[in-house]
Amino acid sequence: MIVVEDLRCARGSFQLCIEGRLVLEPGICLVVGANGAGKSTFLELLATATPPDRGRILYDGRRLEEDVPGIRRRIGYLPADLEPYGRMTPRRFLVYMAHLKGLEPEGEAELALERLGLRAVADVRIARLSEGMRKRVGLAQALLGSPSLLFLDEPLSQLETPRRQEVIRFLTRYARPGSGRSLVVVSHEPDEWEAAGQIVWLEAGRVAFSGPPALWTAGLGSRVWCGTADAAFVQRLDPERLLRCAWLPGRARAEVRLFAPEPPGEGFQPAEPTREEAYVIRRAALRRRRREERR
Amino acid sequence: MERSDGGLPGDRQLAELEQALRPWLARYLVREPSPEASRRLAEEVLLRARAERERDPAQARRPSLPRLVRLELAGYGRAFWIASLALGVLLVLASADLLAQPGPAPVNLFAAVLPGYFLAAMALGNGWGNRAMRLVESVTPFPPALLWLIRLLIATAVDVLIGLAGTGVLAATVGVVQPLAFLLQWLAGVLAVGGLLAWLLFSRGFLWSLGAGVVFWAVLAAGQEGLIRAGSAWSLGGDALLLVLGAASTAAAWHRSRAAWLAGAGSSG
Repeated sequence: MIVVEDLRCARGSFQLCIEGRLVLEPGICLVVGANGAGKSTFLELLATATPPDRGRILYDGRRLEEDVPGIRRRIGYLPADLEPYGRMTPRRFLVYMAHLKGLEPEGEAELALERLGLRAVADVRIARLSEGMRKRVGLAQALLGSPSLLFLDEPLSQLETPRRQEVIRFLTRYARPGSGRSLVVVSHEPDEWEAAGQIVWLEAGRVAFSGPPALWTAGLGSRVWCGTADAAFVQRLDPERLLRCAWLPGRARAEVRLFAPEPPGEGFQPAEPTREEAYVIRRAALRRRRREERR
Repeated sequence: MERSDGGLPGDRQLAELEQALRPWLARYLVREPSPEASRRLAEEVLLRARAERERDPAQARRPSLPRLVRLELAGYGRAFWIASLALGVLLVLASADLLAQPGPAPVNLFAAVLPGYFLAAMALGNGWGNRAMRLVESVTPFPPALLWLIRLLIATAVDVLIGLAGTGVLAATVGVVQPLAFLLQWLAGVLAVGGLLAWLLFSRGFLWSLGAGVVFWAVLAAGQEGLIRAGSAWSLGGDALLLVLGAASTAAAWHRSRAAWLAGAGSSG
């Protein structure tokens, strides 16, 4: 379990500020939020790659300063924009990283290559690999030593759909309940991570929500409605309330998903919001509140 | 075995016998392990090793210096080595021309160029402009300073090799008047720039250290001519001072990085 207490970290004009106590339970925790909300900074701090200006992080009740090697040995970290050394091959790079982490280099590297399906390109220079492959090499280095605290910043970006599903399945198995492992993932696609047990929403450097997915999609203040509508109805709609609009052949009518407190018109049925839709609704509510506060 | 009628057993009886013995013999048959079984075994062995390491932190393998140096060297491309060789040859040719002229040489080209080459070697090596890699490399059970000192060591070693080979060739061909003073001149510059770079790297980050390194190199190159003109005693004293400064700032960098690591700060800029 990871406990974050009164954390502060300034980066120029931006400040990440987590007031009070934030508990990240073992299992999969999703960190969502807009660009520049502080997700990557938060992950850097959790991964001990950057020291906080104030506050502390407890890993199973221990601060980093109490046992630097012990805690660092349990951490696997993948930054969003990691570019592994292009002149190395994946095998050599993983041996290098395993060596730095104090692991058995060859065995760990082979296991990581196997896990991420990189055997076929193990001896090709990283610079010659596709972006997706390079992403997998980055992910493989985070998994070296089977760390019990895994911090991944957008691990699925640049991966094609089947590979995304494979990686999600693997990581879901890896951090399954009872494994004692914590996986904190920054993602813009919260619906892909079905097994996530916790969602943390960061907005402008502050925690706007933390809780289980069931709570995330409930209590939104608005309901999601779906139905078909004609072009005139779609044009009248507030674009902020529109979640999805797929025009039917001929473009006379469209399948619409939107959120509103009341049914928007005849023929609209209530629907369960997805996690992504819940994010859009929560963000819109926050923006509305801010606008009202400014007035 | 004989049949009841006194003949040898038939194929059917042999097949029955084989069938009856199969469960007993199965345990003695050796099958080729499947890739999945091998993977599971490897995973289990590694997990056990990891569990042992966690029980006893002292068992974690410390990265060995020679191994890390070898792995680091793999990160330098062929272009880097060709450029280094070309630079060495050019320096020797240009210095030979200067030294062949009558009177003392107005400038030591080695001392003017090699500290700059050191900066270039650091910039072209691993990790320099790659912040994400620096972050990942800092989240290890060992101080990240070790890695940076290895990078400094490699750049210094390549620099010193070029310098030594060049000095040797010049001494053997054109004849350098004072080989030791000549050697000290460029070595002091390299160590001073290297020390400053290391110290600033661990205190202010990589952009600061690179910028300050370039400025310091320019100052050194400009000040060298004045020192040479002031006389050999001044020049020798200046070089000795630079040498001491370089060694002291490298040691300070190491201590600073270790203290930051123990306090939980991972990144080196």
